[in-house]
Amino acid sequence: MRALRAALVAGLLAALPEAGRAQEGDRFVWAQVRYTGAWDPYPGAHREALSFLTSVTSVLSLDERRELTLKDPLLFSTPMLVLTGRQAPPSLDDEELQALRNYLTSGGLLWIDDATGLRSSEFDRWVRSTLRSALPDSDLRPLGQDHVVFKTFFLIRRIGGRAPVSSSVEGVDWNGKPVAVYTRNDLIGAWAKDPLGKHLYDCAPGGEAQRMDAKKLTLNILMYALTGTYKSDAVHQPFILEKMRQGIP
Amino acid sequence: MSHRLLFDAGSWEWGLAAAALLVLAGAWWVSRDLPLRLRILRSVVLALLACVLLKPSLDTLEDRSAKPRLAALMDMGPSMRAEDDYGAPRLKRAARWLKENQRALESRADLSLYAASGGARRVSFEELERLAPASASLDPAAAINDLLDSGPPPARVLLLSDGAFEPADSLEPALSRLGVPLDAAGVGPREVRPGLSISAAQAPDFVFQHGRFIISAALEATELPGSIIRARLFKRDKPVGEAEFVVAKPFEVFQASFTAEAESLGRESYRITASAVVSRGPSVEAVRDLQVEVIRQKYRIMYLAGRPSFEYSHLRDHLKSDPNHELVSFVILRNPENYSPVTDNELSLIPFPAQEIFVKDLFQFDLFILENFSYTRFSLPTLYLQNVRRFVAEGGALLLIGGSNAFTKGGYQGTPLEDILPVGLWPDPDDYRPGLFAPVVSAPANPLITLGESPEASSELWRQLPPLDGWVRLASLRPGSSVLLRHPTEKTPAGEPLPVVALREFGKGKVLLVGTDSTWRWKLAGGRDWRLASFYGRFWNRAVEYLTGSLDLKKVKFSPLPDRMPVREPATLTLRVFDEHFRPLPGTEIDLRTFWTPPDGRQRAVASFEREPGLFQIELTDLAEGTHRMRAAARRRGQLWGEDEAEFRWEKPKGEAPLDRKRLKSLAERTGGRYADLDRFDAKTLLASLAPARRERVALSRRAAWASPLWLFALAGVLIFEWLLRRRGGYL
Repeated sequence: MRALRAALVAGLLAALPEAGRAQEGDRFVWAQVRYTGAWDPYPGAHREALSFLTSVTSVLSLDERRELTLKDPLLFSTPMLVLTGRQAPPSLDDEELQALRNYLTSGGLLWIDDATGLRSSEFDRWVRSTLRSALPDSDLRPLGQDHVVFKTFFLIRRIGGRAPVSSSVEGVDWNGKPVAVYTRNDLIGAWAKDPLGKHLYDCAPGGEAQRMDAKKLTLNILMYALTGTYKSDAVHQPFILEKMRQGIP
Repeated sequence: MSHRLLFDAGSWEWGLAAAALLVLAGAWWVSRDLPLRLRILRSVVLALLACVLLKPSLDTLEDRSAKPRLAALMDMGPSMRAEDDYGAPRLKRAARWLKENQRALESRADLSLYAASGGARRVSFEELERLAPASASLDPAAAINDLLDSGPPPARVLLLSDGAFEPADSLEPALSRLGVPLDAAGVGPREVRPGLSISAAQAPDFVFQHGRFIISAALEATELPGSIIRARLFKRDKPVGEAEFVVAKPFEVFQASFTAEAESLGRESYRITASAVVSRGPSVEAVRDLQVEVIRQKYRIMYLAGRPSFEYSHLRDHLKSDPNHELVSFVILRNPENYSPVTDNELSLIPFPAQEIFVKDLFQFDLFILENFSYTRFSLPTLYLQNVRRFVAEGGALLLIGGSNAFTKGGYQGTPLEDILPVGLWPDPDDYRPGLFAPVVSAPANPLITLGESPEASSELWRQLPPLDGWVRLASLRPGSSVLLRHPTEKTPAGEPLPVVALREFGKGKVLLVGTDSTWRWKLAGGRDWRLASFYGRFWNRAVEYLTGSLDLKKVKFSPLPDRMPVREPATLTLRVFDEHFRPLPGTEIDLRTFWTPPDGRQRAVASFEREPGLFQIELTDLAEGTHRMRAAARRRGQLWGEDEAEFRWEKPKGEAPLDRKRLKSLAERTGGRYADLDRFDAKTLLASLAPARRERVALSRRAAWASPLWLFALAGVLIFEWLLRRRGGYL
């Protein structure tokens, strides 16, 4: 009887929609968009970022990365997506655009990081064009310096990255809050290490301080996915203002 | 009998007539060549025209004896409703006195009756018997002015009153204008005893929870000069306010105001007591009960999360997006074992305000959410959890959301918090299991579960949901708890299905346990299937409404009725209709029906009108003594939205106000009149003070001769005759 019941349960779970089969418990999962082309310029960088996240904050995470396309049914079991690249991904078809729109408007968060290190790139043009197609009602706009993304954990005063292409972070709002965050300074590239643990790329011209700024902003974006606008609550403002007033020692 | 001719013409009509005579004189001279008969005829036409312009009238006169005019002014103020030791309302007694003395008064005086509340209006003896006290008190100055403006000036005025009015500054000029004596007949009890009553106890119909409001009452002290009145406000036998007043006059009214705070949702009962110690005799006391309906303005929610999570970010975002929620949240961003790569000034962290959350502020909130929070990690004192237990016992709501640190691993086993949970905790700290599962509905009829338009639609919605991820193992279900969702396969050690969502009432509060922190999956599922788009929001809205008691509250409510309805008519009742968020629901969105069952038991529909959106007023008249029942039912979108019933008792007024002899006597003496209690007031003495009747000629009738069409025919006839003469004489 017990065996029969177990078989029934296995059958029931097997019959679940594919979208529900991703398991993570109450841990953070780094989920990255896979597409035809150079979708993963820094294959091990996510481990470094997650290690930093779990060492510095109370967040727990899974070591394994989830890789998925926009047509993957797992998309709607993935609350945060990372998309990066050095070249422009292929244009999205209607199904992918609709899925991206549905994802962003139903609570998902997309972080796009431009790994080209160029002020003008095909990747950047693809990002702008794709977001405009997915969310035609909203524009990609720079986030103000007092935006909650800059204070979800670290108080960010400078935008770091491997290549300082832009001094701002951009976002697309839906229902009054960013559902897509776009960084152009190759933040993920600043994390990349070789097998011996040495950073693969220099962060010029700011060096390690610039790298640290990239790490801080990366962590803040992840914390934004996990806490939303928590740090914009009134209870935090006196503390934050006082720390901002004191500045970096 | 004789007659008199007079002309009613005004000045311009006299001018026109004079002009006609001038024309007559001129025409006589201009037409001097015409035959005399023609000139006479034309002159006759003009003379007739001038005569008509002067409006001649004929009076029929008679010589008769003219009696002095006596005006009887009847006080119609609310206190005249009172029954004294004569067994009849004061107004009825006064009316009866007038009726009994009508013949005697009319034999010597031209008697005019006036009913006065505020100002005065003339009434007949037939109306006198039907008069009822009004809600406004007598204004003597306005009444005297109305009396003077309504006809010839009286020779004397008789005021029948209990003196329950306040003389205004305008009284003196009015008495000067009157210029004749005013006699006052006092209507009231024979004997005045010390007394204390509470009238006009007032409180808002509805107040917001946690809000402060004013309850006021008028204290009427009779024959208690020198005493101290002590008024107190009680809420469920607990004193919440006190006031003292020193009585200086034989009759004095004090306004007592108390500030109260609405604590719990629903109906709160208050009692006002007043007492005064009398130097000789027993103390006097008065009591009034009243009720206040407490409604929610906003749900005040405290949300404490043990670590950042998608469950936290989505639920916080949802709660925050509802303007009915006032959310304060804290999430533990860093644990003691985490390191900091930067100085503290570069972190946005604030100290964990544990003392404020668990001790200082907790009781100000309606709902406390604990998500995946480890109690032992911060070595918090047990007192904090005792406070949470007390918070629930006193009516607060607790929502526990799962996760790996939520229950046994979080250190809650054996604590005061475990006692109030709907489940017993797993004995081993390793109580969290990751993994997908599709929860099974255990209580399909529970309002937290019926989230579709129908039970079938709800079941379909639950079947369509994506699986949840991770659950907490639990030892047992406590008696009196309900399981709403259960794990499809897992069991408790006793072999019962493992609860995933369970609830329990503890004390006056409620506890909801959600043994997973992955309901955010329901939100994202809305992007995959539009039918699920609002499911996440509906589930959590319903959960908050249930926990905070709003789900149990009626959406259609009569305003609380006082223990005694005010004696005036119409009796006014108010009714409020709310939507699901307890915002006013306008009448355009509902079909509202109200019914009244008087003491005779025959129910009848009564109309209501919308005073403002969501606020309806019902007015009842012809109230009979006894218990009246009201019922209201509102339908929305074709379905019953809510209903409410109320009842009140209506009694005939009892005499409470004294007879203010001093005031009436002062008023009479200022005009040269006299004062006496009504039972000693002698109509013959009053009549003896009137001047004797005098002979005068009065017009019995007036005939307006100028208005007769005969004038027109006469004019036309003369003109036609004049034309015929001219034709015959060849003057055309």
